Amino acid sequence: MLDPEAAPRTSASAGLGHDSGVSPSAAPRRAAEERARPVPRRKRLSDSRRQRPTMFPDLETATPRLLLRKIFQTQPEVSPLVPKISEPWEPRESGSETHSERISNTSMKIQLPDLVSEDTSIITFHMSRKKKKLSISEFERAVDERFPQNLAQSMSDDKTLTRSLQASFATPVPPNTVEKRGLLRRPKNRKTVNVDAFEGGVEQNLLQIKDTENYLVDSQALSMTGTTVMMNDSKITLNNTELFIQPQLSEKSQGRLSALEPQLLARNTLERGSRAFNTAEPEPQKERLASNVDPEEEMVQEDHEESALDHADRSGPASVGKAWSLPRGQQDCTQQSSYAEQVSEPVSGIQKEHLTLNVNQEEEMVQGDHEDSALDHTDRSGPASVGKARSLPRDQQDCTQRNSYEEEVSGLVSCTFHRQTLSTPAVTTSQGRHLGSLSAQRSTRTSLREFVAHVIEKLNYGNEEDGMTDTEQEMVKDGAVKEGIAREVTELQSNMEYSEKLGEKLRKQSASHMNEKGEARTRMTPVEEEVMIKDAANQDSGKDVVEFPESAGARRLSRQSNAFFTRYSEPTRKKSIEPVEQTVDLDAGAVVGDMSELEEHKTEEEEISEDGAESEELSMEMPAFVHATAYKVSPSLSTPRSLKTAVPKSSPKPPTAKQAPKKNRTEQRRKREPALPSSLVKKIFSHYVKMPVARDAFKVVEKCSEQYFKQLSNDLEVYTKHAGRKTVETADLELLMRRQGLVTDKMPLNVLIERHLPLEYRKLLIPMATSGNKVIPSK
Amino acid sequence: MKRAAPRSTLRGLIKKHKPQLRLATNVDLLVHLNFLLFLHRLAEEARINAFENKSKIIKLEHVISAAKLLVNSHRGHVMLLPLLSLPPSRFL
Repeated sequence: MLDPEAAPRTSASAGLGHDSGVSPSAAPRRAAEERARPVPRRKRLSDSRRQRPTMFPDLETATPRLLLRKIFQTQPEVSPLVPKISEPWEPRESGSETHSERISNTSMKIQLPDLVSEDTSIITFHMSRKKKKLSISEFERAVDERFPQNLAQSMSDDKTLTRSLQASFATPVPPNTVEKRGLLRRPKNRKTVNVDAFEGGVEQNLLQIKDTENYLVDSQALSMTGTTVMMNDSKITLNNTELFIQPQLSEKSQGRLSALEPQLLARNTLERGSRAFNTAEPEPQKERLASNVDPEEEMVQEDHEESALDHADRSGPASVGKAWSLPRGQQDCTQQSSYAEQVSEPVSGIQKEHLTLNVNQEEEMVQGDHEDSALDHTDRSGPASVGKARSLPRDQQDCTQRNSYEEEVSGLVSCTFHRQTLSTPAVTTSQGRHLGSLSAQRSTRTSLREFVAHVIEKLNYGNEEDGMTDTEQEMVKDGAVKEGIAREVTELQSNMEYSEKLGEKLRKQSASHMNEKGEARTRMTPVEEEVMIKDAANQDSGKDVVEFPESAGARRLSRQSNAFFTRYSEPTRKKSIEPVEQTVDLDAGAVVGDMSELEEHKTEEEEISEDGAESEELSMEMPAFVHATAYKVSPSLSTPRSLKTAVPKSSPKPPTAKQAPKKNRTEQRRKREPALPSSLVKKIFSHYVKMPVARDAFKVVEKCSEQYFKQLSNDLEVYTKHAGRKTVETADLELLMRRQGLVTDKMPLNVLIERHLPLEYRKLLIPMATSGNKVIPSK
Repeated sequence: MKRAAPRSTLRGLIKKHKPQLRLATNVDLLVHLNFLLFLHRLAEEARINAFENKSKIIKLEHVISAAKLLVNSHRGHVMLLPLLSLPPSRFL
């Protein structure tokens, strides 16, 4: 019966012995409660509450009359509004939520003057709670709500109040419940996804978004990259959830490509772009591999890659849906990310067959040269679905070496396909070293590569091992296509060593580029290799190209990869994330477009290449090579035409075009430089908004901030002109803020300064007087 | 948690838009302050929008609608009317 239920409730709420059954009596009771509540609310409620519990047993068996009596005893106050309240109370008993709402409304109205927050918050709050607990009449529920609400006001007063106020009273419960439960629930889900820090999960999401977008070549890709870039900055540490972290054969990008495809790449690219992967190359590859399996994981890994960067596990996209590769990649990523070098993300994505082979090869390569952490490489190599542990470690090693390189190459070359045939471990080692130096460069590129790798992976293209070395090896392993590539790679590797030193950064960039362009993964591997080789030679960019790509395509690919690298190198060089984002966007934008981009990047890279144009070229060549290999590997690639078009362009270009576009690129890049770091914007916005923000929303925020700066500069110019000055002064700023309504008579500028700016700045802006007649800052 | 204001970047940004314009010593700090407040307002608006939609996450559309409101009200010199027409609560 309702009485027992009601009794405790009423007692709890305010001794309202509402009985659904006894409406007439309940009404007055409720009225009494209402009355009693508003006034003594807090005090009495607590008291009444205490009393009530004791009374509960009585209430249960009490009759309405008794309840009413108790109410009157406990809350004798009477409010003028009682009669009105009683009316709504009665209908409420009918048990419709609306009734309760009404009551709550009325109660709220009554109490609003007194306790605005309480009522609203309580009612809505409790409405939801009530539901859970018991099936009581609406009225009872409302009553209970009100009563406990008073008690439990504290916390959510503001929130609930606002919520309740904002939410329609028609359904008070849902909003609260949704809000509360949703808040509780969602984080759990997310966390379950990411074992690691929350950041990892966020990054994953971001990467996912990015990847998907990139992969889908949406127009939003650009925006995504922005967010992804931001993600990079945010530093998400992804943990590889793979059981074992196999050495990343190819850059992360590769692994990712295979697995996650765009998602990973997006992330990786971002990560890479922001950081220089040193040894992370192998990881990215692995990640790529794994990406296929676990897109999310890879994304996490990719985030790792950021940290690990160099570990670009190019292990390459590897066999397409090698689930295990993914976890490996992830694991690798996590490891590396923490290691911050070559979190050889288990490029699980990489096909097992290929991976194992590649890994082996990579390992060999790695031995020769370990840039940062052999571990990283090993992680990368891990992806070998086949489960060749050794192969993975090799990759990792290689990856470390080739991180910079690998990134570029790995993505594409990802040996997923042709791992089986390890062309020349020895060569790879040497190249691995080379790659190692490059890995740093590649880190930025790995993302590109990974992306490409992923894309490729998806298409079941050979996995592009991280870095060039890896890619080389992988390529060879993969098989027919790879073999040829591998050879090229080996060549590249040898060259790479040389060029590594020269074009470390470039590589990274290219790697990142390459990663981004997962699609061009396969292509990239050859290209990368080429590029790497180029780098190695540094002086003979051309010959590197010639050496490796036995096939013209490879060369073209290298060009493309170079472009990739250049693109990447740009962002990496530029420190600002935005360029990276852009590059990422580019990569993501279109598989086909990769090549063209690569070319562009090549030039850019060349421009940027600190080492010199040559190194850039080399790096560019490498990606081209990678691309070439990728191209070869995946004849069925949908982007062959793009490759082809890119190839012809690239072929004539490399020696000459690079230098010219390089300069332009550098200039262009420099122009692009002055852009607020997206990470900063993200941070500030998140801090102010205090709520989780969607990734694409950040892009909008970024655009808004750009627009804002435009307007700001316009306004400032007008103000200074109006004052007859040519220099913007603080007075102009103050006028601007006044115009915007930020500074008013009530709110002086100094207060705003004190509120929002850190102390150091405040000291600069507001003169402070200290003892001894000193004023700071001294004028 | 608060990051340092990227002073040189801000100056570069303004230079990019208005190369002929000079900046005094600590002007970029105030610019940064203005930027922070702008983001603050944008965030508030977006939060309100998201809240109205009963969503726990700030989504794209929330931000966009917030930005629309803000852009109009943000003009310092050209459009004063829209600024006035906007409810003051929005800003402060």
